[in-house]
Order: sequence, then structure tokens, then C-alpha cells
Amino acid sequence: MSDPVSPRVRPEKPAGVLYLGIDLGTSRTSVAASNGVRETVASYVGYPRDVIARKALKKDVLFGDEAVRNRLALDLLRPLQGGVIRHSDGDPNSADAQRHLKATRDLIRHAISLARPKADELIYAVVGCPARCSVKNKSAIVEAVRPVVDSVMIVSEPFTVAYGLERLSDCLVIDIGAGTTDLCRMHGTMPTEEDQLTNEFAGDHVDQQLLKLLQAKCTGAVVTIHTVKEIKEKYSFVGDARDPVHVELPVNGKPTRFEIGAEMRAACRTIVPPMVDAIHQLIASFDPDFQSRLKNNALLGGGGSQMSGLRDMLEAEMKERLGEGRVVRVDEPTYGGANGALKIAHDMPPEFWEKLS
Amino acid sequence: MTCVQNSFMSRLAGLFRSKSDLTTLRQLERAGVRSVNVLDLGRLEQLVGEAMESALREALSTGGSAELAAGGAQVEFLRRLGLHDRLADHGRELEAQSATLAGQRVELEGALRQSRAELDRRRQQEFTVARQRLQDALDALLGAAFDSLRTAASGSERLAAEVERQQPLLRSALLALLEQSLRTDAGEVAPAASGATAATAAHEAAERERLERRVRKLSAQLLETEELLARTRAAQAEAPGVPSVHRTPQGLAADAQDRTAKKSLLAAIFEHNLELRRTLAEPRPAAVAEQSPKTATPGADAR
Ligand SMILES: Nc1ncnc2c1ncn2[C@@H]1O[C@H](COP(=O)(O)OP(=O)(O)OP(=O)(O)O)[C@@H](O)[C@H]1O
Ligand SMILES: [Mg+2]
Repeated sequence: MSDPVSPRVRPEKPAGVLYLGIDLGTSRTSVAASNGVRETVASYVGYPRDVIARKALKKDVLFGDEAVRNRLALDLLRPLQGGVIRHSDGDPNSADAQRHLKATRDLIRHAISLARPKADELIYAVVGCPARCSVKNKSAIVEAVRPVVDSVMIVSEPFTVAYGLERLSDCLVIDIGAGTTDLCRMHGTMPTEEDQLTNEFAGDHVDQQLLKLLQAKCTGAVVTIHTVKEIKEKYSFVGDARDPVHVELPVNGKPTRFEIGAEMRAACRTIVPPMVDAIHQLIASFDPDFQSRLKNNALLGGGGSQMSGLRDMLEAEMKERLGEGRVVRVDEPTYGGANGALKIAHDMPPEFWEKLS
Repeated sequence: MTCVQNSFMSRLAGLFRSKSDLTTLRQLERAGVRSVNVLDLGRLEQLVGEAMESALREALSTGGSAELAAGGAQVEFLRRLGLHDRLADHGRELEAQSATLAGQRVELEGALRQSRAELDRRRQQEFTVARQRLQDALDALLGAAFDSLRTAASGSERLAAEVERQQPLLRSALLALLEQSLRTDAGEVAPAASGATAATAAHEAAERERLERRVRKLSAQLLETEELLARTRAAQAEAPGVPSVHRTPQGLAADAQDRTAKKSLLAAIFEHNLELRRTLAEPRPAAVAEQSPKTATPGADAR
């Protein structure tokens, strides 16, 4: 009933082949499809709390911003956290584990429905999932997707981003997401464990820091994590030079103006040192003959890469610690993962798809 | 018809614009699309042609109007392009149109009923007047005839009684005959109508005829609109969704950049997924599922 996509029947004589690239993220789930459709939805799933809420909302499940907006009437879930399905590492039969598993399944099926597949075309999907996903998580994703497509494969992020941009060798991908910052060294073959580093200094961490700082600075103001995230996405920056950042927050119900530039910068900067450490580590442990190429080929992606001044700051830090550094920001941070997954889907030999269908 | 064509053409123009919004070349390239069935002018011409042909064939076989053919072609075109939003919009337009037509028909039918009732009422009135006139004339005639009969029969009591008995019998028999003849040519009973009334009646008759024609036309239009609506709904239900640019399975292009490296990467991804599928098929021992590294994690080839 709550499944937005009904189970498929494989078309007997397919009229076409629809490739889907899906980026299942902690913060956003995006889809890019070979029919030209590209959609993104915040990774929130909400179920009406009671019969009254269900009647008022006229839906059994809500997604993304719509879910966040109606959160008071909903049991609101953000099923992925720190790159994995929440509660999936404990008892799989616990109520929490089941709830979050269902929410993940509903979310990914919703993302597929957003691509508006046709019933008479074959659907081949590549799902990019967080690098830290356990085998158990990946299996759960495969199980969620399988009934609504003809064949599905899972690929780790941020490999998808690199593939999508044709940067398969001598390149360092830095993907700043919500739950994690993932770094991956590309050298022409499949990245292994040594090529990747993940830390939790990413978007959500910035939100938490900023929340604390604002609570201290803006006396009496009511700030929620949702407001903080919105403010961050508008004004984030890490550079030295800065314009004042004015926001209005309710104090005793009355909108009150605060200048929060210093807090914004401090919060955003918290993710930089761990990132530079990780960059350093991945470069220093690489074949010395190719280190220079890597340093000059850093790719910055993910929603968090949009913090103003971040590219310059990383280059400056790299120059100081590594002698050189050139960083390029991908033009489409939101769709980098989905585009790459789509390209993998397209390039995958048809017989591989068949074997997995 | 020109108007229908114009609005159809301007809708087509809108369609092309909207179709080109869906996909930019840049987007496609990013998405790894190398060979695309680009919707160029040739293809568009073909699509329009096909849509027209199928709609015309349909219209000709069912004796439909030019409007039906044009409307049918439009639905067919939307269907072939898979523009389901547009189909939905179009369906809503048709629904509104059919509601308007039905409303107009109800109005016209009301006017027609009223005009017919008026005609009936007037005919009844004219009939009553004519009958009265004839009755009066008959009574006068019978009165005079029986008066002279009565004078002639004044000598015999028996004859006088017979005359008195015959008068009402004859009167009612003649009246019945008159009534019958009046009823049979009730249509032409208006010889007494003056010139002015005759002109009004003629005008009203023409008006009624016009109304009848309009109702017939509206009914036909309504039928066709409903037919188009049904086709639109069928096209919508048939295969909602946006068609892929690929008709057949793709795979790495022969001239792909870094082809060899990509081939082995893709094979590694496949192997990993095959492995994953095997784990799924197994009657899951809890230990297999527990594998969530805490720091650095392997890529897609994680085991
Ligand atoms: N303009 C912006 N400035 C700073 N941060 C931003 C901006 N826009 C989005 N973000 C942040 O980027 C993060 C989301 O990025 P992204 O969509 O790449 O994450 P994700 O892929 O869902 O997460 P993960 O990769 O951890 O699973 C969020 O924390 C969001 O607040
Ligand atoms: Mg991500």
C-alpha cells in the first residue's frame, strides 16, 4: 500500500532500456535516468502518526521536504545515518531496525518512481551506496530494489563520482556528504580498502557544531537542527574575509536579528583539518612516482563542497603540508553520484545485467 | 478547422520546447550517453506523420469530423512522445470541454422544448376557436332549418314531436363529424390566422429548426469529445512514464576512453554483486551479515 512503485512484471518484448543511476545518501537521494529525468529528494521518510493525521495528509507515506514540513503530524525518519541504515547493525528483528529498513525501502522505491519508468521498458539500476555500507546493508538495498527493476547492482561511493567524470586514474575524490566525508584514491583499477578513508566530519557534524554555537550566542532564541541546516546551506563559508551573516530567530515568539558570521565560519571549519589529514595520508602512502599527479588532481564533490572558500582553503593547506595542490570542484555536487551510477549502468555489458536479473 | 489547426500547431510548438527541456546534450553526455536517438526534425516529422496517419485512418473509418482527426492526432502524438503530463493536462481540458458542451446542449434542449410547448399551446387554442366558430355556424344553420320544419309540421302533433326528437340527434352527429375533420387536418387549421400571425409562426418554425440543428451538432461534438477523452485516458493508462533514449541494451562503446580499464572495473563491480547475490541466497548465518568496518572501508570490490 505504501509502496510507491508496484512490483514489476518483466516486459515480454521490451520497447526500450531504461538505465537508472541512484545515489542513496544520508541527506539526499538523487536519481538520474536515461530518459533525461533527474530528481532529488531529501532522505526523509514520514509516516502519519495516527488516523487523523493520515486523513488530513491523505497519504500513507511522505518523503523529503514535504515530510520535514509536516513533521509534527508524522513519525519522521531519516533512515540512513553515518552512511549506513540506522539500527541495522544490532538485532535485525528489533522494531527500530525494521522501521528504518522499511523507510529505506520506501525511500529508494520512491526515488525510482520519480524517474518515471515505463512498464514496457527494461529497467537496469545502479545504486551508489555509502562506502561504509555493510554487506547486510547492501543486501537490504538489493532486496528493496529488486522487485521494482529488472536488474540491480550496488556500487560504492565515491567511486561512482570518479567514474562519471572519467577520472579513473591519478585522481583523489573528496566527497563531502551529510553523514560522512569519503576520500578515494583512483589509480585505474578498483579502489581497495587502502585507497579509501572515511570520517564523520561532514555536513551533519557542521550542523551539530553550529547548533551548539548558536545556542550559546543567540540567547533566548529557539533553534532546531532543521533551521540550522537551512541557515548553513545559505551562508556557509570557511575563508578569512567575510561579510556579516544576519539571521532572524524567534525569541519569545518574536523574530530577532543576530549576526552569526564568526559562528558559521567556526562550524564550517571543523571539518577541514580531518579532511586535510586524510588527504595527506592517502597521498603519502601512494606510489611516490605518482604522488604529484594525485596532489594536482583532487576532485571536490558532495553537498558539503559548496561551502564558500573551501577549494581555496584546501589548496592552501595542501601547498603548506604537501608542497603542492590543485583542487577542482565538480559542477554538479548534487547529481555527481547519480550521474556516475547512470554511466556505470549504461557501460555495464548487457550479459552482466542478464546474469543478475 | 483553421482554428483547430492553429491551436494544434501552437501546442505542438510548446511540446517541442518542453521536450527539449527534458534533456540537454550536456546532461546526456554526463550521464554517459554516447549514441542517442536525438529527436531531430526528421524524427519529429516522422512522429507527426505517424500520429496523423493513425488518427486519420481512425476518423475515416468511423466517419468522424476533421476536428476529431486533428484531436486524435494530437493524442496519438503525445502518446508516442510519452508526454504523460501533457496527456493528463489534455485529458483535463477535454473533460472541461465536454462539460461545457453538455451544458450548452441542456440549454438548447430547454429552449427547444419551450418553443415546442408554445407551438402546441397555440395550436390547441386555434383549434378551440375554430371549433367554436363552426359550432356556432352549425347551430345557426340547424336552428333555421328546424324552425321552418316546425312551421311545416304545425298541423300534426306526431310530426312536430318527431322534429323535436330529430334536432339534437342531428346536431350531435354533425358535431362529431366536424370535430373529426378538424382533428385530421389540425395542421392546416389556421386558415383564419391573420398575415402577421402566419409570419410569426414561420419565424418560430425556422428558429425551432435552427435549434434542432444546433442540438444535433452539439451532440455530435460531445460524442467526439468523449471519444477523444476515452483515447487520452487509454493512452495515459497504457504506459505511463518517460521513454528512455535507448531502444536496446547498451554497454561500453567501442571507442570509449580508457576502455580496457573500464572493462575490468565493470567486471569487478559485477563480480562483487554476484557475490552479494550469493550471500542473499544463503540462509543467512548472522556472522556473514556482520561486516561493518569502522574506519576506512573497501570500495565496490569489498569482500
Ligand atoms: N550550500 C551548501 N553549503 C554547505 N553545505 C551544504 C550546502 N548545500 C548542501 N549542503 C550540505 O551537504 C550535505 C549533503 O550533501 P550530499 O547530498 O552530498 O550528502 P549525502 O550524499 O546525502 O550524504 P552521505 O554521502 O554522507 O550519505 C548536507 O549536510 C547539506 O546540508
Ligand atoms: Mg553522498
